[in-house]
Amino acid sequence: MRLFSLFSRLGFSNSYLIGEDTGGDAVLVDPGVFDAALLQAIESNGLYVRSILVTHAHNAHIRGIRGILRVYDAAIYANKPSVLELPATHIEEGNELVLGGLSVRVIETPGHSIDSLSFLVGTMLFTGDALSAGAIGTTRDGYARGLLLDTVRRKLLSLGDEVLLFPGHGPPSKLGIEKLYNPWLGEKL
Amino acid sequence: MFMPRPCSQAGCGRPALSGASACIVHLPDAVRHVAGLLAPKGGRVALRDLDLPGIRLEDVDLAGAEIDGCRLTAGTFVRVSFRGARLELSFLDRASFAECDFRECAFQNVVMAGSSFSTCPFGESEIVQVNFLGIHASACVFDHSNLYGSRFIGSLLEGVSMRDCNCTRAYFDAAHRDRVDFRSSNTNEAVFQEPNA
Repeated sequence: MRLFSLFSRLGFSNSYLIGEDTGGDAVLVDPGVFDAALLQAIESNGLYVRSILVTHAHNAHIRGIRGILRVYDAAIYANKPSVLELPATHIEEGNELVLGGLSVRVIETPGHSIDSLSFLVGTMLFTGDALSAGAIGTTRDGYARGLLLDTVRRKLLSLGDEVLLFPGHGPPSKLGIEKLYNPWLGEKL
Repeated sequence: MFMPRPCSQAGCGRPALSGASACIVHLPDAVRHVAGLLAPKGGRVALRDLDLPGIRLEDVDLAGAEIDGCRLTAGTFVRVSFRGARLELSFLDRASFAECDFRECAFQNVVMAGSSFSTCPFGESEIVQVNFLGIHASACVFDHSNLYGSRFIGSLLEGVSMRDCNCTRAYFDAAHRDRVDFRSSNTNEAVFQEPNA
């Protein structure tokens, strides 16, 4: 399996492209921008974007969708029926998607936004803005922060210390590292 | 990206080394196996999608190596030269680095969290979106490096020189800094307080 991490200067966000070594159908997580670097990663590896997974519909994570759809016939998966007024397949907690050769477990992680999802693909966890290296997503109020912290602790940290964390912003991490060093996760609700 | 596989030894919970059926403890002649993986091919060391947790390297030259999609978690590295290496989407967390040379490297999306660095020069490197959470760095030099988006949250930095570094969007929350020299660096662009996603 090949994983590519691409950075968008527009929203300082990460997009992730997942495909097989041999090329073919690929999954794109949070296309914050559709630029030359992403196009090159797709085309030079013989990939075709067939699925777009949206962790949450904030601009920094979806701005590239329209551009992608001009080139690739891809389906959008999100925790809402539409994204940028484009139809999406509504997915929610417990859904298991099979996209190309990938099995994707959908985990609802609300708090940063009400539609926030995380995606577990093998030992790789894509968290959007729910959890990043040493941080959690911004929240509107104390209730949302409590909800996010509870969700992260209960649903994500239990997945295993060696699970690789690929956030919407910042560098990758591991869940075991976050347990040890994320100052937010030691905070009482 | 590396694919973890369990060690074939009954009752062992460690991951097997890439290209072998057993882990670093149970693989006979693991040193030779690792040396074979690190051997230059076409004049250059290229490590791609390898799972090599717990390895020990001493006085090894990995200068100019390409390390992509690898896990070298919990390794011990003594006097290893990574000078001019390119590291991407790789995990070198909970490792120990002593007198390792990281000058003129290009790091992107690398995890080195929980590791210790003793007398390691990182000068003139591209250190972009690197996870340094909880590291213990002593007598390390990052001068003239680009630290864009890297996170030193919860780290212990002692006698560390970060002169003339780009600190834009670098996070130093809850970092204990003792004799850290930020001279000529744009620390106003760094984050020393609340994380902000």
